[in-house]
Amino acid sequence: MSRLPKDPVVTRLPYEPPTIIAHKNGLANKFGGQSARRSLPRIEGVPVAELVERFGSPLFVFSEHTLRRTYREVHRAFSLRYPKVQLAWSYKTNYLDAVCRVFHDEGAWAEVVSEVEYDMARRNGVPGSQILFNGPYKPEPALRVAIEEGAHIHIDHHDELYTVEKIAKELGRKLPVTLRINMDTGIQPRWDRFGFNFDNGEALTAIRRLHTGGHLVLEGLHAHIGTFMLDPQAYARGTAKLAELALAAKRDTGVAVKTIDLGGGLPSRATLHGQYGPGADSKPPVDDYAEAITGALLAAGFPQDELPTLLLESGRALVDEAGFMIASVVANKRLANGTRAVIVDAGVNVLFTSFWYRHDVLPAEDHGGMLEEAVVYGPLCMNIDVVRPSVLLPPLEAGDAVVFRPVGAYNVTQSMQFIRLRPAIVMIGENKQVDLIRRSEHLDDLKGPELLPERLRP
Amino acid sequence: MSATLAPRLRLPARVEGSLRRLALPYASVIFGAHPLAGLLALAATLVVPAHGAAGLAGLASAALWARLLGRPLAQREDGFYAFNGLLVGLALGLMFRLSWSLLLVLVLATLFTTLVGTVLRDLAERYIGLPMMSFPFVIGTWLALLAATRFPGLEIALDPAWAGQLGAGVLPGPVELFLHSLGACFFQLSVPSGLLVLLALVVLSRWSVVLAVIGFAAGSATWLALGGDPAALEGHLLGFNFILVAIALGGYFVVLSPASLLLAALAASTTAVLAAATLGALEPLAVPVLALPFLLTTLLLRYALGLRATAGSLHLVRGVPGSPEQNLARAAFRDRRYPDPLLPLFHLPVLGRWTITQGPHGAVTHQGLWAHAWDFEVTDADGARFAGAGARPEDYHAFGAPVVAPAAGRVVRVVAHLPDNAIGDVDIVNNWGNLVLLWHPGDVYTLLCHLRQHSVTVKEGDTVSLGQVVGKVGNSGRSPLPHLHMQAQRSPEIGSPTCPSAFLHVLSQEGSDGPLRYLTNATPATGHDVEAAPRDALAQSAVSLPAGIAIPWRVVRQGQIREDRWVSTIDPLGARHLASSSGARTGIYADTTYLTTLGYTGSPTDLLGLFHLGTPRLPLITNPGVVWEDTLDAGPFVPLWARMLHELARPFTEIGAIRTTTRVRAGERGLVVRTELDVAALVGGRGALPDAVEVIWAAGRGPVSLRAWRGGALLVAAEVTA
Repeated sequence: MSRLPKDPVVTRLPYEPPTIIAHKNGLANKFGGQSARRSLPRIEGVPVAELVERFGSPLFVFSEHTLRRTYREVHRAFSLRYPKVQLAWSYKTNYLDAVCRVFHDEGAWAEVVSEVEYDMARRNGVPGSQILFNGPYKPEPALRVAIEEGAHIHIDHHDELYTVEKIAKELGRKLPVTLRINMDTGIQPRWDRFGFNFDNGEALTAIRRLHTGGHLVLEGLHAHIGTFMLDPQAYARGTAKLAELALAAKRDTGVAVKTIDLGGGLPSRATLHGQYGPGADSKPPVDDYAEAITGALLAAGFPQDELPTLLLESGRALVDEAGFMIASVVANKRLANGTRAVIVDAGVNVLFTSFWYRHDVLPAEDHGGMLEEAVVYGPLCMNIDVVRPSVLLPPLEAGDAVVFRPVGAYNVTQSMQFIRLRPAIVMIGENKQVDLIRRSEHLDDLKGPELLPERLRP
Repeated sequence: MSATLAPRLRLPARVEGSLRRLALPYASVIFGAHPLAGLLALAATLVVPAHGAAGLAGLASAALWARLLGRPLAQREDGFYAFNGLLVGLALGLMFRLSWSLLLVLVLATLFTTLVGTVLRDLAERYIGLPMMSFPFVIGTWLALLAATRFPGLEIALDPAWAGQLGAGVLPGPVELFLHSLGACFFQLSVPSGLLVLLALVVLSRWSVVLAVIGFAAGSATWLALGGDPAALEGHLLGFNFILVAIALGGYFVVLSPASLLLAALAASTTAVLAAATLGALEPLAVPVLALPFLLTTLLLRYALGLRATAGSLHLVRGVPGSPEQNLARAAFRDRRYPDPLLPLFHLPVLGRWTITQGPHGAVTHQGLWAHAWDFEVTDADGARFAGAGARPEDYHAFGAPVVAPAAGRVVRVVAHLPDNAIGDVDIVNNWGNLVLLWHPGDVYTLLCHLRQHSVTVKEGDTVSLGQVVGKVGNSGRSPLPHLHMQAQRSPEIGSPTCPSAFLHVLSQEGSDGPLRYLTNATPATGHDVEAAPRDALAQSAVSLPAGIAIPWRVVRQGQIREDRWVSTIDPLGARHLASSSGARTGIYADTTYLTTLGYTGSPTDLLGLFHLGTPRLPLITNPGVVWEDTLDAGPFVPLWARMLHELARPFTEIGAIRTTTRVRAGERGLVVRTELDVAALVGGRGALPDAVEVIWAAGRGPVSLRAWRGGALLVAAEVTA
């Protein structure tokens, strides 16, 4: 028998302003009629209000704990199933030094797609031998540096093949190279712009050509079958085709392929605009991708001592959930048709991925009140600056903080100084210390490189 | 390795070779190989010139017979035939006056001895695996003595009285008897001979002297305590049997330790009893026991020690034995880098990182006959074993992960049909659940249990290679949550009692904050995180050091520049070395998992010596953050006095070790291997040692750069010039 407390404490509920909204029918599906109010007062235990007070708004926030946990989760899924696994951090997804260094500290190599990214990786202390150099355009001087430093060159087309061959000839030694392969993996759109096609025989022809040239050695095969791939079986088909090609290459040239690289494309928990239901629920667990890829590799028929190393160039799946954007409500207004609009201080200039994701928007504090459908606009004087075309939000007041998530992937690298300068970025460490990893920009950061012709000066 | 008191003589190679061939058989009698010790023993036999001459005649005659009988060069060079002939000569020389008849008998007796030696050696190598030592001599000498009773031309002249009187009465009785017994190893019964043999023994090994005293004391005490005739100890030359038994079992065949000292004493006591028995048995034949008690005790004990299931505190010397000091140093610093041949070794049966949730002698089920087993589970960064609710086996990280063959072998049994339990349930009827039982070379079996229903990918009779997937982790049998149970066993039944085994090439972490350690020959315990160390291609290519390659160095030391050239060599038995133009030399051992350097000889400050210090063991991995710890013998790097001190203390406490901590990372030029040397526990000779050595290995080239520091100051910087 339970005992009642002697003095039951009666707390007064906070005042809720009355709200009148139109009653809507037609929401009788399992996701409809959402009324649960959600908020995110803290990120990794640090109050959002405190972050805004210290670093201003808008503010990118990265969680080191989530970065490391996600990396380990992905690495574990693959390494439990295959003996030789190496992840390479995809620089273009987010090349903040602090983020890159967390991944390198966890053991990731670097995957870069330009000489600029190559130099970033080198500055982060990554030796050439741990850099995968991808991309359709690698200027010859950049290729030379990368080759000299032992980087892994992923050849995208025949013209690049000839350039690398020329460099090898000049250096007088055989250079190991990886070929980029594209193929039909049963999904749409079919990505066939990178590398040599498998299905029409171009890839094997390129391998024979490479071998016959005598200056290059086939080290690996690489495929980037798509992005935000929600079907693990597409990877199984892609892997099987790469493995088949590797075994055919061994048969034709006698050279065993040392690496099979399945590129990136693993989804995060973000929700795409066209997606039905939340992304976190639609996304298959990373174990399913690992099972698909490693299962296909182990079943391909490689001799046990010639199992190739599995390389993965994940970006989004590793970083997206670790990134948050804190923004502040600037104004509430009603559009002509009665739709509620909320203007926040972070727009598509810093949340570029709003174009294809429905970011989760969470008030930092629970204000009570009914949820109402709203459109969230950014601060730009541009009609396209829509962060969420439609989202259920509780009543918010100017100055209230909201948190967008997940925004770790592509937003920092694709953000731009358009109309507004770019905001500060902080990282919350494992023991909740908050470090500024990129200060907010000054006008000089934007105008510094500009030169004014003499005649236009006063 | 071991300290020797001998100065380095510079003699023409031909003379030195002949001297070596002459001296080696003498040194062999007292388990040595040092020429100076051999020459001292030769001098001991020449105290009575006739004895020495007979010994030399026996030696020469046996060596000649071995050659005429076409014995392989390797067998002749190890001195086996020559030293048996030498002993026949010395024994007969002691008993008969030197004459042409004796010489003739000697020539024929050594022929017989060599023939007996040939047969015994062959049989022993085939079936017993033990050296026959002086057995051929005993049989050959008996033959000669039995024959001599029919040949009156042989004049018996035991022990010239003047020799026995030499130095007699100067020393206390037991000491004199001890020296006589030492001399009796060479059938010399004078104090000066005994002193010369003692000196030879000192040159060879200080511990042999201690063992000789222990053996002599224990054997004689037993003999006397049982009421044996004190005169017989001297008269029947029993004392030297006690001495040789003690040296053989205390430090030559068995690694020196407090336990081996006890073994030496015990063996000498046993020899006393055996001596009495053989004396009685041989009395009707009127032949002396010679070395028979020593041989029987030593061979019996050595053979029996080899049949133990576990080594315990008595470790057998592996490979060709050297002096007790050498054997001990090898066991302390070298043998533990090789797999123990008595222990079955496996790679991990899983991929990726796992937690040992129950190790050998675990609290739950790994007990009694089934103590030597491991349970593997996966825990994530937050310590959880599952994602989601954890209510279904599928929620567990481990569930469905591949299980791989821990070594090459053959599939003996497969069970695959049992259902996976719900979380918390156990099937105690089919305890072991779905399983694969593998046979491995060496007649050891591994059992991999609780596999997922229908996940087994091999069938009975299949051969499997190391790392081949055989099934998936499941939750069948007595398994409340998904895990893998692995055990090694000696018989092919499901669930046989377990036997000890260990894992190779493993990265291990104790707790989540501990450093990631490289381990090999390891038995991880409950709570340890383990993962198979990757076999890194860059590392393998960097350390391949093919035989014949030359590595030219430019060495800068205190502003002075010199050139050194290393050459990688391989001998017919496959032993690999790096030899420097400076005369320094170090052994190299490498397999697919690690490289190590062994047995450095040369100047303490030589570049190759620094390389040896900087490469205690190099696992072929490039994971930054992995550390491995090792200990190196400081012997080659400290003064002689310190080295001898270390050797004397070593059976009890280690004061001659350099502790090393090494880390490896992939750097600009290749594999950067940095070793910190800790000399805190080293007594004597710390001054010359560096405290850090960094070697850079380039893919396909081997070492390209070496730097050493002391107290933060650069000591040596060397670069490969080609």
